[in-house]
Amino acid sequence: MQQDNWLEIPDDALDAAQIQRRVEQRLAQHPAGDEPAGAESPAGVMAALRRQMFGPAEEAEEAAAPLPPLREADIVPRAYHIDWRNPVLGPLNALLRRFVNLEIRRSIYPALEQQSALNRQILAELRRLRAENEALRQQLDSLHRLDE
Amino acid sequence: MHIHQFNPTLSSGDAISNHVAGLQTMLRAMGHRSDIFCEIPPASAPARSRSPDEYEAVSSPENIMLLHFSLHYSDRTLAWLAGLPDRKVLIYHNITPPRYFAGINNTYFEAAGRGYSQLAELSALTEAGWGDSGFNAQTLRRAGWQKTGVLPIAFDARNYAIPPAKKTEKLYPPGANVLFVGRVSPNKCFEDLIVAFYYLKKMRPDARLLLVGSTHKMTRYVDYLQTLVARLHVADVYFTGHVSRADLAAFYRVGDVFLSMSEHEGFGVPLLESMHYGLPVVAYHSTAVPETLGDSGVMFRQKKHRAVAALLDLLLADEPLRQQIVAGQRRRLQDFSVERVRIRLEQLLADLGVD
Repeated sequence: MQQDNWLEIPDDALDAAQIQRRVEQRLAQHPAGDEPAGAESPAGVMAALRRQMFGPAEEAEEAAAPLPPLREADIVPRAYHIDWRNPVLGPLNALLRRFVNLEIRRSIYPALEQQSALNRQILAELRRLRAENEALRQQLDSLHRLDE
Repeated sequence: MHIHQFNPTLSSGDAISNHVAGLQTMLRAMGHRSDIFCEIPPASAPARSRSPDEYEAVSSPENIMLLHFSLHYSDRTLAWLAGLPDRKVLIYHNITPPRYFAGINNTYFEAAGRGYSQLAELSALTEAGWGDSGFNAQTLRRAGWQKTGVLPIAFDARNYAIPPAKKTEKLYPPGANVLFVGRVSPNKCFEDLIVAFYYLKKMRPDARLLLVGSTHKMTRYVDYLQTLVARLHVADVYFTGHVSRADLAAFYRVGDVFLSMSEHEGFGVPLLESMHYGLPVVAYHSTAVPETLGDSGVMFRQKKHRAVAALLDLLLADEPLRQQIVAGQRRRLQDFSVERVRIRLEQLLADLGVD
């Protein structure tokens, strides 16, 4: 079984090639494990169990990421400002835009305010649940330590 | 000159705490006034420390404050440091990347993330950053430090002149003991140790896997490892938890080979400890491990578990080969002597204009 560039032996006093040959001889003497045909390899068991217990790595990282600050729960565009640069048509354009904006505000803003309030409530509850979850884990940890 | 140190806290047996105490001894021997300041008073520690509140009396732009950083600082500490007129140098001991803790310990995940984000702020507060390895120093350069250096952790054999616990020595007589020392943490890949041992156990039924290190706050990860051991039906895997210094000495004495599958190490003090106790080191080639081993030890670039087991089997059978590896490691260990690290410290201080 070729193990090219597998071993890294920086000590010049050691014969790296010979050591690698002797490892390969030992592998030949001890064929791959006696797992039943079709059974998962130990490395496979390791990986599958990890996924089962912790979920895929990317999902776990996403789930553990810091929650956004409360101010980001607010999705109402409160700082929207209508202005103009053109000295003649500018004021007319701004007037029209203000009128349209007023109508949009009347129809959509209540929904945005409601969503923002819900976002804040959910974020606050998430923070509370995370803190509670972590406290429970630590209690479990100390119970495990008592068992040791 | 006043050259003081800050570390959030100190604890007995902790590598960084020992390093802080050792640096204080070196600085005082150089003729500097040197105290250690901790935010959290230590319960037990290798050196006496003082509270940051006491620092006001000695604070001066002429002083240098060495800031030890290995996870994150509290907002209070950052504000205090920002307000100090003293010259500041960061000594970076590495933060394990947060991704290793996702889904396993979210507190560490957040803390590690916070630590990484604090590095940029600290680069603006300090005039230099020292890593205890080139790997760590590189992280500092990426975070914004212009002036970096390497100050390795000194290995002081006097800290290991402890009689080994006889009870532990009797429980695990040497012969085929594979040892790993380090806190049980996902970056150290204990699952790979277990899988490699699974194969070794088929070659050597008398082998034992001794996993020496604290399992504190890693319940989910330990559950995973113990479930893996059960699923693979592999016997003689021992999780010792945190051990006393006498027990640690005993484990190193009964160990026959040290195996590391760790994917992330900022330095690796157990590698030096293995060198001291005469265990050949077999390690996965990653992060700071090759740098600490230097021209010694045996490393592998891919985690081929069966092949690692065959390598361990070879070393356990070939005493002359083991002794050759150990001889090379003993030579390498000299590079981390107190004297050599003291010379390095003097060079780094000279770069800062300190005589």
